[in-house]
Amino acid sequence: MLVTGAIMLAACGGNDPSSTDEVATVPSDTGIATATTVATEETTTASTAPVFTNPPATTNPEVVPVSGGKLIVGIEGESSGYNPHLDPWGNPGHNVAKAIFDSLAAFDAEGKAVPYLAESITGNADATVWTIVLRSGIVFHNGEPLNAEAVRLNFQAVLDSAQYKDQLSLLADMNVVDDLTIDLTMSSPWGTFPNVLTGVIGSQVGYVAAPEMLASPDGGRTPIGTGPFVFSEWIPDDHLTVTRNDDYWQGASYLDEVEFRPISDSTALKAAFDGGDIDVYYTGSSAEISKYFAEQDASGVGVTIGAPSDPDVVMLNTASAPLDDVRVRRALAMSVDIPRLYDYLEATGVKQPLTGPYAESSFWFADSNYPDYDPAEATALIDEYEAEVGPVTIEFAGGQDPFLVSYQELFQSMWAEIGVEANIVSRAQSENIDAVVNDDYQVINWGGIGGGDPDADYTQFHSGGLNFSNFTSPEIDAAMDAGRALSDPDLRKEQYAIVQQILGDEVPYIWIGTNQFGVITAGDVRGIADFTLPDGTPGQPINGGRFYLKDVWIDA
Amino acid sequence: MTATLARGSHPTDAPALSADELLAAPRLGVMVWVSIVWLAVLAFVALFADVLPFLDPADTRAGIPLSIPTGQNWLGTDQLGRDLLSRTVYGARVSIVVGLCAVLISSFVGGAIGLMAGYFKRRVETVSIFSADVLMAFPTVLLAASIVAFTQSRGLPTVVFAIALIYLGPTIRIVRALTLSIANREFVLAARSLGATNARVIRREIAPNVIPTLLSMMIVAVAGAVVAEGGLAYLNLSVAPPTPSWGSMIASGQPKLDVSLYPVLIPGGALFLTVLSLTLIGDAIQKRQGRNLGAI
Amino acid sequence: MMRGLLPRAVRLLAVLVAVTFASFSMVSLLPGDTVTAVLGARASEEDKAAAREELHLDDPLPVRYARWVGDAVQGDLGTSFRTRQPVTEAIGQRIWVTLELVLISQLIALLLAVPMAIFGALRPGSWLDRVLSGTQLAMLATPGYLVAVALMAIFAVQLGWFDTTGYTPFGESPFANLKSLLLPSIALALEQVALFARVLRTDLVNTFDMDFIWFARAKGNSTRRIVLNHALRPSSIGVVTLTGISVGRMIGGTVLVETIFALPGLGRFTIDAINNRDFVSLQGAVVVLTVGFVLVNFLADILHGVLDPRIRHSVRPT
Repeated sequence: MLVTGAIMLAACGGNDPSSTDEVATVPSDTGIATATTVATEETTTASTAPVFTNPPATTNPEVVPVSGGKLIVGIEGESSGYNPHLDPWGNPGHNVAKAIFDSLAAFDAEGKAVPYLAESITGNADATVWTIVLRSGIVFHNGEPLNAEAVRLNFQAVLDSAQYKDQLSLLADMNVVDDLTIDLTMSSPWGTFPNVLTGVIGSQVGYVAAPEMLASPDGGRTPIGTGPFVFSEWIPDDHLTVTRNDDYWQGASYLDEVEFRPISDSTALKAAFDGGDIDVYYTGSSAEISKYFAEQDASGVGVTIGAPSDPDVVMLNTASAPLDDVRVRRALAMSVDIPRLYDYLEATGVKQPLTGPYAESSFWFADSNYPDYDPAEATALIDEYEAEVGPVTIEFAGGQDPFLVSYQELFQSMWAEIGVEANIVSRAQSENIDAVVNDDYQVINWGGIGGGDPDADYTQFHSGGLNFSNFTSPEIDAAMDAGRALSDPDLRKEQYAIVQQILGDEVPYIWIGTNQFGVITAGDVRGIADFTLPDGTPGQPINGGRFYLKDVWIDA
Repeated sequence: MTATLARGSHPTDAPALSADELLAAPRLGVMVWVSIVWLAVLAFVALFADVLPFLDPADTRAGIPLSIPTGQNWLGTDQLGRDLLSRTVYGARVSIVVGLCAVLISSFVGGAIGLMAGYFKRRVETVSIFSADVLMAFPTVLLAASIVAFTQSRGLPTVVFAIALIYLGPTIRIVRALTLSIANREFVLAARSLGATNARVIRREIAPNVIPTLLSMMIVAVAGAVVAEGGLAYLNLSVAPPTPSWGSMIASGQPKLDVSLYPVLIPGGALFLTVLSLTLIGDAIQKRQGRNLGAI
Repeated sequence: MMRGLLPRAVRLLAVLVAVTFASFSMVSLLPGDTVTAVLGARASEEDKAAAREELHLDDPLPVRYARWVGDAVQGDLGTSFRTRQPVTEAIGQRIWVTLELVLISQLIALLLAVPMAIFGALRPGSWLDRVLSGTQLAMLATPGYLVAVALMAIFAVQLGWFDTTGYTPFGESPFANLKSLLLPSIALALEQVALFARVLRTDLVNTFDMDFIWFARAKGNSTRRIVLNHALRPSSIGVVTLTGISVGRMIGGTVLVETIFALPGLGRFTIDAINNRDFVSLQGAVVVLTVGFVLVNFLADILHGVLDPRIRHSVRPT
């Protein structure tokens, strides 16, 4: 379980400031870089039920996929490059990567990490030694064979990377056993190791790049993998093109060519889809999901919804006055009128309100004293504080997109009603992350907390982690540590209930609602939901805003 | 670089109108009067917005979001339910303040430099024209946007300064050209040969002939400054929210254009009418002055 | 000709040096730690010091400028921290979009402005002239970004006749290329139409009053012939000069129009660089834009002299 800590560290801190704009202007309703839901079996089976459900993967067995055609995929940002162990990716980067590379593991339909590029990933009894066995006969796009040495070189590249070595901080030793087998020895038990190998935000270890590419300093500009598509051309901020890998180990994919087109403006991205310029895009905007869902039958546009990911949250820096006072924090939360926010986001019915990091329908949910909407009580709390200390003025940071600025203005007006003056600061995503990492913020639209297995939130909640909100408590530390050391879900849940109760009392975070990503496809695009694993069983097609194009085809 | 003043390159023989003559100008045409009325109304409501019965421009409970005009919200509401009439009126404040202040600053500073350059010539002229050329070599919007973005200050003074800088170069050039054409006229040469001090010549002979033309140019420049502020605001680089600015209103209305036109139409219309009015007035005055300087 | 050119070329060079130095020092002196931008906030102090060393950030500004100019004249404008793409390459990919946009909108502007000016100038003060000049004023008063939003709302979103965003290179499909640039070009052109038409109209009216036109008229030439063969060329000086000046305005306009239509041009590149504090890209883009602008003006200046022999060797127009 310790792994998830490393993942989250990478998920938040590892969004390298020099390139995080790739994490999009609007990946979700509030424009927050969505960190991963490190789904485990427990979470997914008991996870929040989406309001909308996807059609069954294969609607008509008589429909036979056809090959051919070019698919244009809109992505909401550009990446610094495509070296998995050097370039931090948001959803755009991962989507391109999933076309060019294969990850050693992937999530199955229940959200459990299973071998994908690897034939098997097995741990010993105490999860300190993991053995990865590769499939034979797989070659990279440049003809190099996929063997244990190639995998070792990839892990070594991570260990050599200043930014990413944390992802493998428990990896003590690597041993190439034979051509297709590698043993990894961990310095302490690492039960969730396969999760790291699936390719989610903050965890790119699992993508296997060709040794030739890793050896080249500019390798990230011409990526070479084993994936269903071969890199063809990249003009940053304009397009990246890949063509079908006819020798793909899972059998050649259907599409001749895929073009990824970065369109960072959310309006422009949607408009590009509506105008037919792009065939596929993904959105965290509940408004767009509900709109397309409502029109689905008439328009033929496909909407495929992924598992709920980390919720929208307003994070408060509890080390910064006046937010060091719990009365102010509770008042801020009490004055946020969630239905009005959902109205603006057009998220009514899509988002689910929250009182903590895990939705009510989640296995991990525990009741807490998180404040209800009560502006009168909030005003009283602020008045009390102001009488003692002085006026409450806060700085509220967010993105630059006009839609997000308006969203912040709505908070601003609700807080103005209880006597709090909020000054909106609009910055590039990279600067916001910088500000949070450097503790130079007061209130910010944030993400990457909650939604999945609570152990994933270890670094956020534990005093020894990154803990961007600066809210610490010995009880939370103890509970997070205990939860990590236990294996029984019910016992773990008891520990995490303590955490939720304290968070509800102390309110370092204002919970806005769950997030669902939807992949929107043009009428003739099929198979987004059909992602299958090498053994023929269904996989998890969409995780956050990330999806696979391997089984996608165009109905001519 | 040198041919900024296409029209000014042939100094006209028609004497420039004095300020008195301008004010006395009787027949300005219906459109110009309509423009004057629009600007007057706009200035009035913007100036007295706080005492007039407008709704609070930041109040998100002023109406149902994206509503069409109603009895309560005469021009409809924006995406957050704020009153568009009141926001447009308050937005006019930003436009007027930025437009006037930026142009006043650039006219004052640029006018003084240009006058010196045209009158004293030699090194003063070389240095100031060179500076103007350098300033004018930067694309206008980028210059202003960089200043606001990098000073990380979104107060009115920064925006005013950024936009004033755009107009500094052209003002220096035009005033210098005007001064040159006047400084060589007989009455100026006569005054100088009679031993008048430089200060006296500038004050008595040059300035009165330069200022009326400069004033008419300023009107057109205000229009340009209002447009520039709108552009900055569209890029989210003007005054910080919730202070409304027409440009940011347009930008934030755009994502919901398929639901309601009003959030874009109302501030866009106000911007259009204001700029058109200023252009019409400036144009009429320039015609009367017998000069057509074109837009700077 | 050479005698007039040399001082101008010297002047041009001086302006270029001043402009590049100004933009270089402006960007260099801006708040924001370049090293943090390169390495990320979690970089160690040693790494930061090493990077400062490598980037020569501790050298005095003039030394850094000189080094930068040395690289720049060899076509090396540095490498973006954000995309790790050489800035020269990035600008090379984008500049054609902007150039094409500016070119098409100048063409549209001329195509609309010339007939407007001619019809207005033929009968100054007529109802047609007044309607035309009223239209021009309205065009002048409509900011390009407003036109862009309006065009997008009507023709792309409502009617669906055009692509809202995206850009097809000319080499890939000339038709799709023109289609993707048409709305942005129109948005950019309207203001130019008004400026061109007004200046050309006034010049034409003046030209029509000149002796040689009366002479041509007395010889029985048709109005059409007089306008096209005799009056247009001497009247075009103002427009040519204006073309040079208006390129600067247009580049300003492309920033907004490219943002609205999501075109991968230099204007949007610059705004992205500003928003992401990508100093190296910003520096490169500003230099390319300003140098281009200065050169265009220089050319317009020379052309001005060619078109109007009276001022070929005489003093510069004020």
